[in-house]
Amino acid sequence: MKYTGIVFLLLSLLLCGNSMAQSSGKRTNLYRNMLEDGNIKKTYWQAQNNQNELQTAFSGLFLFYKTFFSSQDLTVCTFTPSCSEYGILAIKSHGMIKGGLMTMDRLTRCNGLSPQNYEFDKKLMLLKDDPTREPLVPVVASYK
Amino acid sequence: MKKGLLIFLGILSLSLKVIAQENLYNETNTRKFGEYLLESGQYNFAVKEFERLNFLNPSDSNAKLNLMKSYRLSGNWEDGIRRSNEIFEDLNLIPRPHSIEYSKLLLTGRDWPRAQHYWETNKTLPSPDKALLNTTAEIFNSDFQKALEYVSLVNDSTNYLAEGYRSIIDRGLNGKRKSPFLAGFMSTAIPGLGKAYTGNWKDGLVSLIFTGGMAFQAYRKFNQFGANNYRPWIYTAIGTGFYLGNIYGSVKSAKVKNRKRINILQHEASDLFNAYY
Repeated sequence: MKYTGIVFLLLSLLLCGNSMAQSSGKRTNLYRNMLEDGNIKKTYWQAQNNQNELQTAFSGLFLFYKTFFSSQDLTVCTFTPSCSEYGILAIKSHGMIKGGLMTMDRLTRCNGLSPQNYEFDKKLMLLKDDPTREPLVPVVASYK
Repeated sequence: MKKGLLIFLGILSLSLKVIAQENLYNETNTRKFGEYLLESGQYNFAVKEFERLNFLNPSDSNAKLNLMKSYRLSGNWEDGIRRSNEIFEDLNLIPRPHSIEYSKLLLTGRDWPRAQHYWETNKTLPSPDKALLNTTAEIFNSDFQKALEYVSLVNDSTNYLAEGYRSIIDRGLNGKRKSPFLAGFMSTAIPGLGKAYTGNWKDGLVSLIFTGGMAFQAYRKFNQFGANNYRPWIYTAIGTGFYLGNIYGSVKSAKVKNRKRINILQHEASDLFNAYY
């Protein structure tokens, strides 16, 4: 008799739980699919608009790295653009030799020990280091 | 009779109301609204209003000035230069404020040869203005020697822009520079030393560890597997890349150090220029 009461109580609680879950279904739907399921296809503009075979080859290497290696890791680079993006941009804008040297140098600078040397991107919370842009001081004010 | 009079009065009052309505797009309102947009920082909209004003009254000199200013402040300095060439018959004969505004457009575009050619041929700008604008262009072109030649043409000792520029040029010419060649040479001898010379000793240390680590690994693998195995060559290739990258990085570090020093002076020059003009 005692066990029958306990089973009855548990079943009642289960039914109550189910009905409550159904009534709050709208709210739970709001929080579904909040996390990425891993099937989001990313596009990299850095690998587009290749001008020659060399750029195409390096863009292929870049995409291979981004797809199979970088995607398995968190954002660990201290810079924006990241080291791999810097590499492909440097090669595209400065050629293979200078771009390659710039990339090797960047890899050694990617240590986060000298943040005072770079501008800070407040949105991404990363240090700015773009191989295609040299910071210039504006001559004329943009407010007067 | 009464009915007819009432209808007549009704039509008359309606007609008067229509006549009395204000045209929002007339010249006065357009000018007021354009000035409001310019003052409130809505430069793209201000361009449209002043374009309309210029269309309504092409002889309005102030509208043209505000139009040029709106183009510059909205970031469309290229369009500003193009439109200035269109709305003025001869840019060399436009009044001084307009010449200064056109000069600002050219300076924003950093087109130094074009700007300097304009100041040479301009007939309305006084000589001190021409000298100061040329000095500004040379300071931002990082040619302090030429800037000194131009600023020496201004003899007025009360001109605070000229005095400020003299101080900036003096520091630009006599300040301490880092030699990119020496930095590259030092990093060739010992990886990372060139970066330490330019003040980035932490990056230099990382360069030394990377290059040294790869060299050590290559040495180990050569001893372990010999030269006919691929392993030591992988480390050698990566290590050589780091070594060459470290030399390039040291030269760049020295150049960046020098550029930053000049950029500080250029910021100061920009402040003075914008306070003066």
